Amino acid sequence: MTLLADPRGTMPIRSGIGEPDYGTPKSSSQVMVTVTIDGEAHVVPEGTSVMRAAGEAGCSIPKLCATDSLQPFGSCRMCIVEIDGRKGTPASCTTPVEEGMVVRTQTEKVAKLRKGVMELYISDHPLDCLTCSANGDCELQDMAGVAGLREVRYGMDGKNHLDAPTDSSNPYFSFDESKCIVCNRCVRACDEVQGTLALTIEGRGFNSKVSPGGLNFLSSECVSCGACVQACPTATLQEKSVIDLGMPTRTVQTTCAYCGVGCSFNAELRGDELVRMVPAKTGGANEGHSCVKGRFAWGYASHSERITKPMMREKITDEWREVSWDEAIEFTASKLKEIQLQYGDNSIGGISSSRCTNEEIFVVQKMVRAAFGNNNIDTCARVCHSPTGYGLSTTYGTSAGTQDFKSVAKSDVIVVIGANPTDAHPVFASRMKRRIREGAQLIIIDPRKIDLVESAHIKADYHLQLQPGTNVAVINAIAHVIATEGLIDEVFVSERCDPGPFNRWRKFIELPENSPEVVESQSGVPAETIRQAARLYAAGNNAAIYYGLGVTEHSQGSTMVMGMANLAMATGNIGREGVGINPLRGQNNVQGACDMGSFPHELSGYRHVSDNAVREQFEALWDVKLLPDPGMRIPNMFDNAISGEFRGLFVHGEDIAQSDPNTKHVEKSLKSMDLVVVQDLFLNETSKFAHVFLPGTSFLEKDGTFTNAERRINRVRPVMAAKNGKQEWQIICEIAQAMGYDMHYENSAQIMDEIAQITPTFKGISFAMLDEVGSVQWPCNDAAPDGTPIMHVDGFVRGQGQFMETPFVPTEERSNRKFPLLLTTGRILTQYNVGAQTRRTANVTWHPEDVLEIHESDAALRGISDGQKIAVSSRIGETILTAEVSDRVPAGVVHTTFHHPTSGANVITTEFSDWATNCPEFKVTAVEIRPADSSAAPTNTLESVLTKA
Amino acid sequence: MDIKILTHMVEQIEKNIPAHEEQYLRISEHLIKFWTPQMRTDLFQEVKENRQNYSEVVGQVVDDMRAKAKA
Repeated sequence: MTLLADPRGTMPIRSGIGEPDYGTPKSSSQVMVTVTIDGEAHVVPEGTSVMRAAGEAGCSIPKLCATDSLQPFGSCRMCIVEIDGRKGTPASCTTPVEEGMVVRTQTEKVAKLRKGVMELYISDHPLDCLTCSANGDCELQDMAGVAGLREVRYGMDGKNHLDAPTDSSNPYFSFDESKCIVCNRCVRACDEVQGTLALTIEGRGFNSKVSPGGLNFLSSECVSCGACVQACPTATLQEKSVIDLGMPTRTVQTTCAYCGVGCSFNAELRGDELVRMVPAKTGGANEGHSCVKGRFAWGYASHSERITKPMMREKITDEWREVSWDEAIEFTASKLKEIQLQYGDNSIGGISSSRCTNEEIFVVQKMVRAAFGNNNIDTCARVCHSPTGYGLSTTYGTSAGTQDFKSVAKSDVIVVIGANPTDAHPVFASRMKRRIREGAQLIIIDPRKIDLVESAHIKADYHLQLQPGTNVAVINAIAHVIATEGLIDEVFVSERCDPGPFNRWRKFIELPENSPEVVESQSGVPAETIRQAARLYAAGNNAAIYYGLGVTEHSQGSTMVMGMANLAMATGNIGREGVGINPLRGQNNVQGACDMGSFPHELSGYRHVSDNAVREQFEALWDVKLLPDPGMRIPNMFDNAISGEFRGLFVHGEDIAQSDPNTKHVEKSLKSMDLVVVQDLFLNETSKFAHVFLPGTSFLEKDGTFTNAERRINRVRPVMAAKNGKQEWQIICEIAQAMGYDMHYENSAQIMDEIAQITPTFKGISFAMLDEVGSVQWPCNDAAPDGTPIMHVDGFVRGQGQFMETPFVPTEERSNRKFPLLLTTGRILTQYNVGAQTRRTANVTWHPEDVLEIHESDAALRGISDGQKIAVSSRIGETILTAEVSDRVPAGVVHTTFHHPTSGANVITTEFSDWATNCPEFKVTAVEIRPADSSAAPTNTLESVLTKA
Repeated sequence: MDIKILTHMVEQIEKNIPAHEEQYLRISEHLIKFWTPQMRTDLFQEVKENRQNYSEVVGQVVDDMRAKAKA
């Protein structure tokens, strides 16, 4: 038998066009040891494997079961070496270097053994290298070459796996068992990297095989993160896009545009065609890991429904007509000016998008402030994390999470409040789960039994399953226990916090009304559970809080953020690794949108518009007079549109008709306006009310930066040409120019230069700097030239930390006889936000529609069975969903997602919002449910509303 | 903007800012920091005309803010 592959005889440290693979993880030891490898001395950190030391020294050792994202396994026997003073040929992956060790990696003895091992592997492997999809990117092929294998003496007639079936059930990758060498890398990747433990090795000896547990990959617990595909050294687990399109030939490193984790990816192309997205090991946020969205769900960028030409229409009942860019921009500008002339300067405004780059967002808010001449700029963070801005600014002095993601590896106690990281921030969740498997203790505060409460090798120590709307009561009760049981870190508080507010807070929090025993009746959480959780949080060495929209999207969202900030200060859990208050931002650039001055009261860097000195800087730079008063928030714009004072809106990359609460109200306001301009990738719910549609660019076409939830600024590089022919910042500049304000940049790097010039926390940042270092966390300036992974280390941004009293004020949205259940909304792993992107990918395989989770007792009471269509009604409206009877929600609580416009969850959400920021109270809506066929069809569904519109 | 909305907003703010000596100041700071001038003007006018519908705290806040604005 002769090998089809062309043996190269050299051992590539790179596989294909990917990043280097040193076989085992890097050691973090500060102690250095000297080892001699093939006659040359090398100094490496203690704990480094012989394999890695050799690879870093340039004399790579053959390997198959080793990869540097996984712990060494020592099974393939390809990496054997000879070490002076040791018997036999130890595996270099599992052998750590020692001081004075002398290693020989290329002796005749090991070469012969490796060749023999390789021969056995190849004897049970298809010899189709030239037609194999992994040709050129196959480690087995590489190793055959390195081993100098020319023949396989055993022939192919014996027992083998060559006819094993291929599992193509997953829409994104296939599993060709005939090519599997059972190296275990996929199984270990699923365990160690992803933490789902969906894969296993089934059988023994010759019958050993990789198994996803269920019938196939699709029906298994696999979450399609792609870690197994990435780890596979052969074509066994292979992206279908590679099988279809061929092996990529070049890469562009960029940043994912889904959640706030901000994963770095190598976009791998063949010519100009994107073949696959591979998570970058150098990515500061993800370190080589990914989720199903970032890894696979990028096809929407080339979806046939993309709008690539500007469109206009006189009335929203007219058909769209394609127009030139000049006509669209001229019409937009002249109409906006006409509205202002007739109704005043304040009659128009804009909404920026957290999906866009910092540079795009910066120019949108600049256009509003400088060309529109008002401060009517708001951002979609209004409906998600605006309470984070209010709460953390008030207590700590700035609107930002305190830690980097790596910090969780040093946490002893992890508290997850109102967040579902395994679904909404899966790559960070994998880090968190790793730490929990290592022994960190876990407290979950959530009405739902999220996966982290109990899943493979994860079990929360405490699940405080509170009633929706009682967050503040519970956080106060935890603080009450800490204050009354002597668990306050008095030293930290006296050294770091303002004593006046602290003493007032202490007096408040010790009141009996905040005791767990009182709060039990409000929240449904047993007092003793609250007490034990509080003691654990306070007594744990490093305790960190991670939270999501289950904290912010409440009538007391801002109060709750301050309550958590109080807790961290009271226990000294701030200012070092492993602790902190960490908002898990929903969209890719929520942090950046807030940083860039997208709120109506703030300029970039969170500086209030009333600050004369700050405003003067902007006025000098922009050559324009700025207003010193806040502009309208999104809900103000809607309300003023209905009352006739607000007439024109520029919507940048947001689908407010689907994402904002009380859909009927939003639609009424949009219909009231004289001009709605939508800039987006696809026609969406909002564009149904628009007069101008300006095609936007996907993240694969953008040139700029995103800032993730850990304040990390990452480069977004164009992978393909803009399908609409223009960068979005250019379009914004052209509108501003057409309105008479001269706004011009040569490229997006110039915009970042302006941001850095005018924003103290960004002073040290430029594209050149980011291209050199990869990414950086703000503040990045003269005081912190390398950025700031952890904030408030020596002092709070505001000086002393400020405790705030946080009285519990129950929401006005209550369950009652007519609407006895409480609806709370959330996300699911495979879909993202309003679904504009993920609904246009194969991710619909897993989540084709929004469903309503309902407890079996509530379902039984109403005669509802699993899978049945049900009408869900609130005092605002009614929609139809499919029931999913589930024990994830307690009796009295139901849950749904808002990814599909056809179900329109926000048809039923209410007008109530956070008292401080007007962030909608998405998480509490009183509803009733009945079988959909038990009475007349609902009259208020999104579909019916839109049909009428 | 519908005055009922502004009324509800200011009542929520009052409920969430604890009642002690700084309450008046913090409520007025909040209105200055986050409300548009038109929203403030509308509220002032409403409270002036229908004082009986508002709490003592909101009435006092509005009085103080109007006095400051005049000064």
